[in-house]
Amino acid sequence: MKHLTEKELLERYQFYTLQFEERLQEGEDFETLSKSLPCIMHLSDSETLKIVEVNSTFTNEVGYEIEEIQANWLQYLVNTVHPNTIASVGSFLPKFYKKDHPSRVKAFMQYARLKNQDEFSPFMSFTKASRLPCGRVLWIVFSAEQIGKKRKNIERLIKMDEFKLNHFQQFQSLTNREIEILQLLANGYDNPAIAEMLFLSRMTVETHRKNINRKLNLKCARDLMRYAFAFNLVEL
Amino acid sequence: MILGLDFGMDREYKTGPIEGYIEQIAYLNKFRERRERLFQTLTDREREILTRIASGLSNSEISTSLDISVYTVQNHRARIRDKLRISHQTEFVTYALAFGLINF
Repeated sequence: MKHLTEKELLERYQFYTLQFEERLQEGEDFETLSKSLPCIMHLSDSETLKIVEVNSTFTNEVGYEIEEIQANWLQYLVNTVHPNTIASVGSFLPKFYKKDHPSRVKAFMQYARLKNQDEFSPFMSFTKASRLPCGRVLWIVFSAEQIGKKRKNIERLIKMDEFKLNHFQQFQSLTNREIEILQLLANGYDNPAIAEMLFLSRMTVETHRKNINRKLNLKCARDLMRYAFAFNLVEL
Repeated sequence: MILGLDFGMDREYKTGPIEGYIEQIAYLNKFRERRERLFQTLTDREREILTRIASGLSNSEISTSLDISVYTVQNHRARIRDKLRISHQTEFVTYALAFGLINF
């Protein structure tokens, strides 16, 4: 894992997810399969996202047996997963599963805490729309911090995601128009250019800009660019 | 909706997944490749000043932190702007992020 770029790391875990799911389809036993990769793995229901099966790494690291999780799902969720993760994952994942691209793996960061921990920490998570029986989907999860300690380029990824986590609500408070303008600002367009592109007057653009600054508490260009990179607004 | 809990998230925009960050990081890497030669023309002093500009310090804050006059800072700033062909305030930040002068 030492010399991988972020991209290579992503691709490698996407590959594992695809491969493991295929082997599960062919009937391999979940627990046996999961022994070949020292990661937290679980199977979930693709509609409700409830966890239905966990591997031993899950139980050892996260600290729960499957029976505990199933007996009190909401309790487990609230104890283990950050509310912002619950909200964002809950919104994009069911849609992703429905689309059911056979080879697409979704990678995202979730914030979770192990049993008896106070602090949430980032976990990179990989899942794909499944061909497994009963609408089950495979998740592979590992702690981003553990990897990040050894590799600096994951740190940047973690920082971007932490920023998003902490500024999610603020970003949500923007109107669609404001996001549009924020994106144009981040990509190097000035007020007159934006006014022309969006068929607005300069005053209107200025007002929008003031509102954006207020809602996101922007004091300088750096604050703006942080939002831009964290929320994927900068374009090549 | 997840299990009957509605978090009111009806707007869909490009976020969440890690691929987005990888794209943004790739953007920074490409930016760096393209501007490497321009960046090399900066003096050490200019790099110092670029770091501070990108960090969000005002001209007067920069002048006190380096113990130089505000006019000197303004001059440096204009020279950096010319050398790096900067057309927008945000580009100072992009340069600084791409070349590792500031952390995210």
